[in-house]
Amino acid sequence: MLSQIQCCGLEGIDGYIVTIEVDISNGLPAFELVGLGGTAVKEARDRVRPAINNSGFKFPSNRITLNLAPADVKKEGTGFDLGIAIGILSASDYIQNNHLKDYVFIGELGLDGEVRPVNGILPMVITAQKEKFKTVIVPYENRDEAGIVKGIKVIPVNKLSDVVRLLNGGLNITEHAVDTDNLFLNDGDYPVDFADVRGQEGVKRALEISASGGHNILLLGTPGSGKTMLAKRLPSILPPLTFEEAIEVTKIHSIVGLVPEGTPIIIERPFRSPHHTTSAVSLAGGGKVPKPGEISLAHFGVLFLDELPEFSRDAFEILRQPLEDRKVTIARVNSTLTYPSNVMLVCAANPCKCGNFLDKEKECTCSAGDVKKYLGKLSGPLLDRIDLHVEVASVKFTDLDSHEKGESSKDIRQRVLNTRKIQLERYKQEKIYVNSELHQSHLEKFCRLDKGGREVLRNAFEKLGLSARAHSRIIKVARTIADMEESEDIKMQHVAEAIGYRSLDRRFWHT
Amino acid sequence: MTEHHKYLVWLNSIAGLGVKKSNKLLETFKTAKSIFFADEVALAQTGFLTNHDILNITQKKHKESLEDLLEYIYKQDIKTLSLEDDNYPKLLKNIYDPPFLLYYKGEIKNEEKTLSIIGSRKATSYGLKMAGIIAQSLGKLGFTVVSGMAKGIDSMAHLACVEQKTTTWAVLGCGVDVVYPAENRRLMGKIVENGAVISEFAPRTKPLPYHFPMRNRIISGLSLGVIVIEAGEKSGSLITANLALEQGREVFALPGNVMSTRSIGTNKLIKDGAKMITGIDDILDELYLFDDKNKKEHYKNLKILESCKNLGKEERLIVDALETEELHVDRIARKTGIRISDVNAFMIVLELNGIVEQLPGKIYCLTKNLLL
Repeated sequence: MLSQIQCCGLEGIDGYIVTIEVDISNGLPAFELVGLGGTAVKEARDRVRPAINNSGFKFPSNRITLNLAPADVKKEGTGFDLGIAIGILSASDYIQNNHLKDYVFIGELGLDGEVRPVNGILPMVITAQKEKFKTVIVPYENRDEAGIVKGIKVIPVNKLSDVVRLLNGGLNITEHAVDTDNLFLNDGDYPVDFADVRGQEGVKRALEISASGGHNILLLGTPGSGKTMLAKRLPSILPPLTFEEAIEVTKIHSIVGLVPEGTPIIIERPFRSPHHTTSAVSLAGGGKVPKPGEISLAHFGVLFLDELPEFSRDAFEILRQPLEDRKVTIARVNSTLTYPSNVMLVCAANPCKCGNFLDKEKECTCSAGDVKKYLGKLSGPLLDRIDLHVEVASVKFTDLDSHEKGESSKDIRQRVLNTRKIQLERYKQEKIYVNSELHQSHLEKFCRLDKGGREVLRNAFEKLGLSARAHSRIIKVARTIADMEESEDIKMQHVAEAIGYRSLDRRFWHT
Repeated sequence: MTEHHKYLVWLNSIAGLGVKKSNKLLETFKTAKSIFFADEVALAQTGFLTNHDILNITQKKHKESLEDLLEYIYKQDIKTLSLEDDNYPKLLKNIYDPPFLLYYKGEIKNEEKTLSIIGSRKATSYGLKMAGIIAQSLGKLGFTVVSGMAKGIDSMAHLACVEQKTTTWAVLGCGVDVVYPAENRRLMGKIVENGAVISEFAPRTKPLPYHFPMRNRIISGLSLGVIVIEAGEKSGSLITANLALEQGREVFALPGNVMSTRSIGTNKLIKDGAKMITGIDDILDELYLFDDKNKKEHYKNLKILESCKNLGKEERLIVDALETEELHVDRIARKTGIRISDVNAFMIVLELNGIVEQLPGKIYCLTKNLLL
């Protein structure tokens, strides 16, 4: 007897349909599994056998040959278990259903026949829908994530025996669908809010600029000055994710199993803050079968690198290309995969090893050489990719004690949205969205400085000892500041403010 | 280089023979040449040399490497100055143990008005600013500013002088051909142009820790007085201040914030009787060098308030806010009530006009020209 069942495998953030062919023929009892299955797939043999037996069926004592087609692609994961079991049951006549080719089966099996959740359900269901399958059977615990996909029937199941009864017409399980429109109605209620931050107007202003123009930002300040607190609130003033963006973010999180339970789709912008001991590979992604790294998990969100100088040199270097290209390509023996990495980079650093260099009251225990060395790590290509440098001063008690509340994230976000809209309108023809993406060639076209602006920029380069790389950064940031005031021309005060955000290029860090 | 100097270079290059013993030897033998040719018996008769010293002096090694050293000195354009020379600084000659030979690069004129500015390597922005202001004013008044070219206060004092092209001397704890700290290479070149880099250590000598107290006695010895800008509790600057007292020189100290760890030393000096300086006047009064007319001239030079006249209303507010203290931008915004985005822009414009200065940490202060 022969049967064919459809499953779904994962390659990067996309799925591909795998056909499981089961042939049961006479001969000594054996269970052969071919088609480049990884270890987890091969072990399916030993899970499926008891699962079938414990679900009230009899595992055939014949020669079973099982093929995973396409047979030349390496397959990983436990999501094939359910398909394999259904294939065997179908080949041994337990299932009477003429429409099996309309179904896609996804799920891991427990020895008792329970259907368990798997990673990457969203991209798999999306693939099934794109390939025009009518029904997808998913583990019950994955139902919400699968349910957001429209145009395909999503049937959540608990047990193997239920699936068999369903296919034989003995059980009716209702389709699970999630109302996505409702989810997006809620306009981003973040657990943190800028209103919680007292004082720090200068840094808040810089973060607003950074959010408005998508600029990468570096916060420099003594420990306890609130760098992390401020950075954590950045996503709350970014425009909310669109549905398409949300799907892409959820896909990436789905394949590493990071979609929180009970949330069908990630609607908040991700905020990833890897520890500074993180390896280069876990930042960019990697592994035998490349998995997305932190920079991809932060896609459409914020990648926050706290204690930047403490990261390894490798970690810095590996971020350069993904930050520029907004995608990261990982090549390994088994496969070469590309993950998206469109992130806003937010970095925080102490000014020196002990952290007190800028502090007026605490003594810095570093030697002058140490200070220089510490900041020296920051220089070079990575700084080239950071538009704004902001120094965060520690807040005085009197500021903390004030009853004056800061502006709420919602109000700031409204302004950010406005500024983004202006940019979208301007760059319609250019396939870019925000000012930070401007290329050199765009600068002349879109960033016209008025006379005062040119004057102040020329002056600044002569008198303030700015380095050359600051030039285009300043213009881009000035463009954003001008947009925030809805001014088409970049005026003197816009350029002047932008110059203020280049403090690391300034000479006084080098004396 | 005269023959006498060549023999002095040799004497100076003998390891383990200090200044005091060398000076005594010169007294006994009259010239370095006769020491060079003296035999062991003659040396032993002096009575104050140990066997080890005698061995060192008579060792051939030193005598043979002398030619090489002299050639190096010649090639590096290093000049020498001995106690007998006319332009050997008179003030230095008067101390207890003056170096019998000075190496220098640049030019040493026999200056009468010399003052040294010393202080912590790790200085605060306040210290650095004051070092700059005081050096600048002293330079304009015709003083030669002496310091040690270390990081922090020292470098700042030199920098202020070379920027306005007034004379400054740097006394080193290493050979005059050795740049220490290395980052001061360019500054050292400028000091040579505007004065001199001086050392009693032979060229190619490394900056060893015990050299610095020896150097400090030259710094104080070269000057009418030392001005201590900032010093921690156990700072080397306090040693220099003590040496200055022993040499009978004035000690000035800049008062600092009581809570600042870098001002503990200077505040203590003031408590112990050092002259407190709150302006250039305090220094001039103590030295009895100036009459009132000179002072007026000096004030005219320093108060460049002209540039403030054309300021707008908001800029004026910002300058007023900064008059008493240096402030973080957030505080400026709060104090003046101007929006933070505008404050950011104004600060850069004011900075470009030379009215304010930015310090690390987004903190602003008025430029030194507007003070004192």
